[in-house]
Parts: sequence; structure tokens; C-alpha cells
Amino acid sequence: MKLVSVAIGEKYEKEAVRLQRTVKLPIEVFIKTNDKYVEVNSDPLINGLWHKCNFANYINDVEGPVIFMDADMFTLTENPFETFNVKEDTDFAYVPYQGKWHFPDIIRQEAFNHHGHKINSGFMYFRNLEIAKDICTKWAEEFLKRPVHWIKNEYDEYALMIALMNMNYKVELLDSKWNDWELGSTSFEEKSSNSILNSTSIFFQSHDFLHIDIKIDK
Amino acid sequence: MANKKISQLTAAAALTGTELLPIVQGGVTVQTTAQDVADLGGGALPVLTTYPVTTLGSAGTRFWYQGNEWHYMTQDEIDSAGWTGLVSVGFPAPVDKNLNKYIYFSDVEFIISSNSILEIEPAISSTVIDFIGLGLPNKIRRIAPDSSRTSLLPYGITITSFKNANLLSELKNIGTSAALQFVNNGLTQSVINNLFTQLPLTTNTATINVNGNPGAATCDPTIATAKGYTVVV
Repeated sequence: MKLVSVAIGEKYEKEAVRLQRTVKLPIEVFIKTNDKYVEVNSDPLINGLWHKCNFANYINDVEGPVIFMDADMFTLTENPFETFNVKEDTDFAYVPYQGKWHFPDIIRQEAFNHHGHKINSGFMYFRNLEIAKDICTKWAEEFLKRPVHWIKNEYDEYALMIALMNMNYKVELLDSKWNDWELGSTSFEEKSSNSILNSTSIFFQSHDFLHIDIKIDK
Repeated sequence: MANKKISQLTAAAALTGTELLPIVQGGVTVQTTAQDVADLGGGALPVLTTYPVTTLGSAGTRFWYQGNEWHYMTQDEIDSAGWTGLVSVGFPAPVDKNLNKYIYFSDVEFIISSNSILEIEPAISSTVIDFIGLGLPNKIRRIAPDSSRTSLLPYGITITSFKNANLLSELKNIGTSAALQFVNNGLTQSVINNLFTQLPLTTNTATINVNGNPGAATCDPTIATAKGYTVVV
């Protein structure tokens, strides 16, 4: 199993260090100094997200599944992948957002209606590198199509949803414990960190709490 | 002259204020000056082109800024707005914004609610106006009174009304977090639709999450999506 992340920019690189420190397993992190790095957009956010979309095209010679994690993810659980499993025929797995989404535009609405949920791209499982490369290539292409029209900070997930509409992979939806992003989504640090510390979820996502670490009592 | 209509008179040159005008006081025709009449209206308000700062010496005076009439607040005006102790005399604020104190946004983005009517109120800082989007627009924060985000809002609070949501002109998501997050707050269909109706148009990335409320399934998301918002029910 290959663990991968992308961290374009100093802030994300620091977050990726936390990810590596807390997961305690080898994680290949794509950063600006990589030979394959190119600036595709002058907007740092669009540029960084494009490299996330394209992440599988930066890795080679992987046997078995590939798991992508956003740089700002972290775990407080020892051996976080100890209980991770998907069905044998699952090609692609992720944590869906909750609720029915209504959009101000047709394109995203059609993508949502197609999948029945919004995709969270923070934690994704791919059965093998070939599948990951195929999805990422089409994802990255879709991402660059309308960067001006789309909202910047979440565009990566909509681009993935649109790209997947024309692909035929066996998808599995994961429990939210594999990316409990909501607990880390407030900057009210004391409250949020308490919620995270008391949670049984395995992975969290936050730009804060850079020094948080494995639970001692778990 | 007695036989001429006003429209037949020669047009006046620029007024100096000393010109005599006839007026009627108590049934008697008397004279006054153009300046005296102008003074009744307070004169033309100055127009500020830069963001105003607190000016103690200007308390009680008014001005225009970005199309709104503002005032440097007196203590009475501060008290009336419910901002006692929050801002100083001479604080610049729009005149006709109905600001109340049931909720306030602080620098750490939590909310205090004294009852189940959520009213948008500015932050406890000198950036009050920034927080309602009339000043520096990048200072707007989200409101998220669900149990996972604030220790100050009672768990499971039922929200029966929103007020002043029209002030939320700069709502935007924080990362993947919804700009407005009202999950499991007992919102009925009419309360949700009323919130959508109050919200201003947006070009920001702004999601409104009302998932888990009794009115979510039957509310009308198109009220908000037509204004540019994304809605999660």
C-alpha cells in the first residue's frame, strides 16, 4: 500500500510533516522541489490543487493500492491503517459529504445528482496505480477547464465529481472516521482540539494544531 | 415685481448665504437668510473616500461612506445600538443598520445567543463594521452555532427566527467549512426560507448547511441558489 500526499507551499509542507509524523508510515509527499513540478497557474491555491489532482502521475512502480491523503490530515491513532479495508472489487473509495446539495449552477448540480453525494477528496483509496493515474489524469484535465468560473478553494472536489461521471469504476463509500474533517474545521482551537482528542475517528483534517500528536492513552 | 411670477424672475447667481428670503412665522411674513435655511438641514454631509477610524472629537457628526450615511457615535447612540462597552465614543458606524446583540461574532468565530432568535451582531472589537461587510470585506467570519463548534451555544438549541441576515454580505466558506452551518437546530421550513430570503446576493463561495433540521426536506433552496449560494439540506 502506497501512501501519497501533495504539499505545494511552505504551509502545506509543514502540515505534511505532521501527517508523516503522526501516521508513522512512509508517505511520499510531492513538493515544489520535485523534478516534475511545474507552475500551472499563478494563483497558488489553483496551482497547488492542480498538483493534488494530478498526484498519481508523480509516482511509479507501485504494487497494490494507493491511498492519497491531503497534507493537512493527521491521525491520533497508533497504526491508523490497522482496521482499514475495502471490498475486494472496489476500485476507488472515499468519504462522502452528508446531505443533499443544491448549487447555483447546472454543472455542479448535474455532477451531484449523478453521484448522489458530494465527494470528499481528503482521503481516497485507489485499488492500484493504474486506476489512480487514470482518474487523476482526467481529474486534472477537468480542473483546468474552468478555474475562473469556479470557486477556488473547493474546485478540486467538483472537478473530480465531473471527471468521474464519464468513468466506470467500482466505488465504495467510506465511513467518516477515515476523514472526520468537520471536527477540525473551526479555528476556535480549544473547543475543536477537545473534540478531536475525544473522538474515535481515525483521521482528521485541519490547518491548525500543527503540534498535536498521537494519543498517549490509545 | 408684484405682478411677476417666480418663474419669470432672473435666475440667481451662486448663493452666498446672505440673500434675504421671505417666510411666514405665526401668520406674519418676515425675512430670513439663505444661510439660516441651509443650516436647518445641517448642510451637505462630507463624503469620505477612505475607511473611517474612531474620532472622539467628531462624535455626533455624520458623513457618507461607500453610499451609506455614517455617524461618529455619541455615547447615547452607542447605548442605543447595544454596543455599550464594546466601542468608544466617536466610533464610526452606518446610521440605519439595525444591529442587535443577541449574537456576536468574535475573533474566534463563536456565538453567544441569549434566546432562540438569532440576530446578526458585530464583533467585540474595533472591526465591528468589518464583520458586517461594510468596511474591509475580508474580515467577515462565518457563524456556526451547532454543537460541534461552540461551547457557548446551548446544545440542541432550537432557532425560531433569523434577523439581520441581510447584513451578511461577505459570507464565505472557510476551506471546506460552510459559511453558515445550522445543523440540527430545529429549523422549520419557514425559518429556513426566511433566512434564504434575507441573505444578500453573493459572488463568494458560500455554502449554507441546514442538514438535520425538520424543515430541510421541504424548504426552497432555490431562494438561496438563485442568489449564488450553495445549499445543503
